[in-house]
Amino acid sequence: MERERLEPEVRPGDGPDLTAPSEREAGHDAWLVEQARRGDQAAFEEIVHRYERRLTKALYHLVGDIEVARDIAQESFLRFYQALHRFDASRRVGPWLFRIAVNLATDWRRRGRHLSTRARAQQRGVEPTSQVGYPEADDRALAEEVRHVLNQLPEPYRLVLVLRELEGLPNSEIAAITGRKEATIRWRLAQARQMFKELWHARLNGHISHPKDDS
Amino acid sequence: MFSFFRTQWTCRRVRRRLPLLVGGDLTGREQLQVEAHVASCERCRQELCQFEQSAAALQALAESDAALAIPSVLPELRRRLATPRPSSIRREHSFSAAALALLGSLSVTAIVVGTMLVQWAPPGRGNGPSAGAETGGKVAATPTQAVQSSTRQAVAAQLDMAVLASNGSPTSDETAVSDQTQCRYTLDLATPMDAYEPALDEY
Repeated sequence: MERERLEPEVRPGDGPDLTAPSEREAGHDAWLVEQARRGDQAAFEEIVHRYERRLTKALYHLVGDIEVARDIAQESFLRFYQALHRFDASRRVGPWLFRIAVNLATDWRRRGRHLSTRARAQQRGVEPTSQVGYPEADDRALAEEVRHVLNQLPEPYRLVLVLRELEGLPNSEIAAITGRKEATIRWRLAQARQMFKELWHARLNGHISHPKDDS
Repeated sequence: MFSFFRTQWTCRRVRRRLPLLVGGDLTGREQLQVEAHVASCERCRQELCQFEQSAAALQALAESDAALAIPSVLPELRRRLATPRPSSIRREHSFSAAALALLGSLSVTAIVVGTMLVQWAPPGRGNGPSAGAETGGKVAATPTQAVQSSTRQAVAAQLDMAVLASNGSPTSDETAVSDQTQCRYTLDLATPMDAYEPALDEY
């Protein structure tokens, strides 16, 4: 089955495809960064527009809460903006943004999990966004099942599985994001798939609890 | 045929590579060896089948994600860029009155100890007990009076700190300390990214 490919020309808002970067995409990113450095906020906003959906989705799988994922995505873009003058234009924007976001997500998981979505929304003085909408109830149920199993993996394994299986990043990209060698990522991915398979089949056989039973 | 097919890999060796095979991460000789083994081993084939089922589940999640309705972060981001403020994902800890009181106690203790050391300096240097300890504009006749006097000062200072803590209006010096402490829980936007990145090294 064809993995989801994000092509801005066809699906505005989805962002560029990090898995097969074209010279044109990379060149356009570099041009946008240069414009943003000169104070062109529209250029920065285009960068946000290109990457925010993909970044937020990945973060959602890492932190398990769409509001937190949006917060962290926002913070990542803010840090990116503040570090624009130090950004090496020869580097690609995507991996850099993902690296910032993954570090922030890791940090959040270490210290902020105690706050509920509603509590955080109230602290911000806003109503929490309604739950993420799926087109079909069956799709949503299956997605929730998979997400529940995914959340049981230890963080380093969940991270590589999310980046590879859900975001479609190649091992080299994941290595760049996590600061690990490609060989390390390869074996970590193998272990992550093994763990997920065992948990998934245990779930199918009724050996582990349903998400609704956990609450 | 090729020489590497003469010795088939063991099930154990193959199974370690099945998760890589199912994800398309095997190439060349490794891939051929694993595929050759799976073709002739029923148990490893079943194992591969399970990997394919779990991969399909993940694929289903990836496809569901395509329909996720995620509101843009741009409006909030624009607002934050216009008016810089502390991170919204910081840990919601404020500098508590108890911490301020503790800091005050430590400062007072340091003052008391310092005063006692000055009071009990060896005679002949002009400000020891024999020369008369001068505290608060008055001269203490004995070392005991000097200590009592400095203790009173310490208690008064401690009371001041407690009042400050309860009023929540620290002086400029205390504000600086408070801000420093808050930074421990706040995402420091001024920190270079390189300083932040090593967090992943703990993996």
